[in-house]
Amino acid sequence: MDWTNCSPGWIVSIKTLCTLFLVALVGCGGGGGGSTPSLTYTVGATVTGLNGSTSVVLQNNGGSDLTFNANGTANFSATMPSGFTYDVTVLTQPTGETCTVTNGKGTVTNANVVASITCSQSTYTIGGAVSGLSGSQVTLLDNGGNNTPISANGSFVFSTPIANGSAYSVTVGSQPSGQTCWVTYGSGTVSSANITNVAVVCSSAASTYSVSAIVTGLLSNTSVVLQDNSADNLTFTANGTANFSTTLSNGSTYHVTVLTQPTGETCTVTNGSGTISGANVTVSVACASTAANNPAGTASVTPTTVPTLPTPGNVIPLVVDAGPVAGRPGINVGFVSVTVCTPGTSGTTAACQTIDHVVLDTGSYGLRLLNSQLSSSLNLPAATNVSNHAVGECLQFVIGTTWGSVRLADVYVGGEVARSIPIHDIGDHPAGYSGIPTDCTGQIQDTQTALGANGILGVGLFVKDCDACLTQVIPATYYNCTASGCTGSTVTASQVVKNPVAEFQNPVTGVVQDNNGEKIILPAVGSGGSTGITGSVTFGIGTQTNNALSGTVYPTDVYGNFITDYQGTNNLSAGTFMSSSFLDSGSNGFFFKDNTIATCADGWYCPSPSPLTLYATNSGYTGSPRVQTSFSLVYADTLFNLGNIVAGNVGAPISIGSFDWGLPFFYGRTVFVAISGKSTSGGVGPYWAY
Amino acid sequence: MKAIQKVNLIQKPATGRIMRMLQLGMLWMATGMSSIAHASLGGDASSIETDRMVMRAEHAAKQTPSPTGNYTVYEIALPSGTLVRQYASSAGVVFAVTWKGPFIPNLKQILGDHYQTLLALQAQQTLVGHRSFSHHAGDLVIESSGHPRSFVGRAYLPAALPAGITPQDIQ
Repeated sequence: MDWTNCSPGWIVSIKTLCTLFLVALVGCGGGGGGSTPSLTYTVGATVTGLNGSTSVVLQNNGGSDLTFNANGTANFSATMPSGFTYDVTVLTQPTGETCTVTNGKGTVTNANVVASITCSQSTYTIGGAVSGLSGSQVTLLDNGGNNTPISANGSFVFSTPIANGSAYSVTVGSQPSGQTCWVTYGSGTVSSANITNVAVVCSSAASTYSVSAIVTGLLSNTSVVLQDNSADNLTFTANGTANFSTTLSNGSTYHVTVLTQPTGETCTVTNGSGTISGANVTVSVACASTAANNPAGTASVTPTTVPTLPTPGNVIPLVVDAGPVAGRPGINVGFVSVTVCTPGTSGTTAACQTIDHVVLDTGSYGLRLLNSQLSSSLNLPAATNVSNHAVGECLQFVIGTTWGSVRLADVYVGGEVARSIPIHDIGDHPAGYSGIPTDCTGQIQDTQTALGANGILGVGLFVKDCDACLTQVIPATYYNCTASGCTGSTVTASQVVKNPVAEFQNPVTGVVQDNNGEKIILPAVGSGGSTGITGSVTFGIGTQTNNALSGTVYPTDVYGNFITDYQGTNNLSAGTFMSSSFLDSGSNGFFFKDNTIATCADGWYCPSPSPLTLYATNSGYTGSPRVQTSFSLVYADTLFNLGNIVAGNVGAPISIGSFDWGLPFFYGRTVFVAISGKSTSGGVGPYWAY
Repeated sequence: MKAIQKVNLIQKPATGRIMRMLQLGMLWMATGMSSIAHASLGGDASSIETDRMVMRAEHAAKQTPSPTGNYTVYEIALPSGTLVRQYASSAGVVFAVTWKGPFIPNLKQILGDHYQTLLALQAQQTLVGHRSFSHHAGDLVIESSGHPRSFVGRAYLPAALPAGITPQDIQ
């Protein structure tokens, strides 16, 4: 303080001096001579976030302790003149809270100063409720410590709060006598709130629980072995309920699986895995028949491994012969061989069987094999539907009805394979049900003698044998079967019987190949017929060097039909339009209505003179292209009477409106069958080309 | 549907087969709707409605009288997409049935008694063949052909055709 700056005349007594000194102190400015009196300013703080029961102590420049017991604003007792520095700090934090200072440090500049003090909770409590305790005491631990004895049911809080963001873990320290307590919701991370949901449940009941299984559908004379947690085995020799021998404590897991399937059946576990939560557990096991169910009298065939595949892999022989049934005359039926294997097996571990004399049928879709010809050791699994029941199928031809189960197989045709596709197992009892649904009418053909073949390979224009069956229950098609009966049902895409060609893949690489159709070649047959001819089927259209498309493409409608203008020419004159016409290697003659052609007593055409040359103009279903073709018709009974003719240009009348170009049409021609939806160089199927 | 005279089938007592149909038809009328297969071909025109219900065709049969008024064609559309036509004379006799569509209809239902005849005839076929069947006799004609997704066929009683219709008209 520079006395020399004070005005003279102010110097009086000491007391007055002290007073004056104070006044002078306040009044004098710093440096320079000023005649105006100097001002001081307050330094204060505004506290927020303090919870009611705590207090915070602040300091300014390390002194002037200022205590806040509640949120609010207050000033330090010492004021400061302009130019003085202030530094507000927290001396003592409130219990369980952390206060931080903002705008607390600076220089007084002709104005009062207010620092901001923001407080927030820094720790939270851990608590919950105990129930079921009776009589005795349980101790709880938090993070292994803070031992808290509890003697009564109700809520509890640990005395040590946990810092925000830190973990807590409540466990039982010591159990009450005669009871077991366990903790749920006992661990986690504190996240800006007290924990109040730790549940401690005590019970006098047994602390271990049993796992039992209920088995249904098990056939007699067979057994299934279940296993829990990969160690505890339980064998059932009959349907019923039983417990696994090992009981499990609360919180431990169970996992029930089938260790050994029964012979000829597959058992499936439902709700087989979980965690024991204070109660016994029951697991359901449903068994259903899977293996091919051969009728008595079947010659047993030992399965072989996958046969050596031919090269090229996409060509197989097509043989027209008398068929596999001695003494049963047949004419114009072309046969191929197929190999079926247990799906999912390959190479030397595969179980396969080659079936010969399977009819090559461009008029149907899907592989159908007589169960009586299949080895029971193939174990082709039964297709099961969404209810886990077996699937039965009825397929009605004009003459003959095939009834059987749907099974899955790897189907090899030449060097092509269709993996795990649904096939029709003719004569097999789905789910062991031995009846036939009453609406599956017609002459049942489930024997070689009745069918005249060992099976039918349907390689026609479509992928599935029934599209509408996926969305609609259609009588006499697919069924949901149990041991007690079959009811008509829809079928899913994974159970519907499929054209194997559409599913062909390379057996080694698994790459899809040659799956858009096939080419059929047979040699010409003269008017005297033939005692046997051999042609070929080549799979794929334009997919290899040996199957390029040739001829004219005739698109068909969604039913596989195109138009035959019988005796119409491709120029002008129209004949009789037959709009439901089709090519069909599975038909054994030319079938069309012409009342001017004589018939024999057996119903076949017997034109005289013979042969009779006829013509027709075929077109795609839209009416184009129109290309005239000719064909030859012979006196049928002449060939039949020879007794050994298996191929000939015979025909018979059918309803008007349809020309069925059967196998004789294929003699001396190259015919392509393009599958619906598949791309080829000639467009997208369905179409015939020749 | 206009009132139809009760069953009598054929003026002449013809063959034993037709007599048997008469007895069956009378039995059906007497017992009302029973669960046995109802003879449609050769039966009373009122059996058409039964056929429709058994085969679950949704809509009532579409009726088209012939130009001459001698007969009426009843057409029902099955849920599977197959169309069934039944031809009934003005005397109330179903003398012809035809079908066309992706699935073979319930032939047991619409052929009635003649269904067993069809099965027996097919069993007699000496040559392997699954795709077509044709039988022409004085008392019964059955033609059936086609392949999965497309079937067509017809059956009629030649002796019961009313005047003014030829087999060509039955499609």
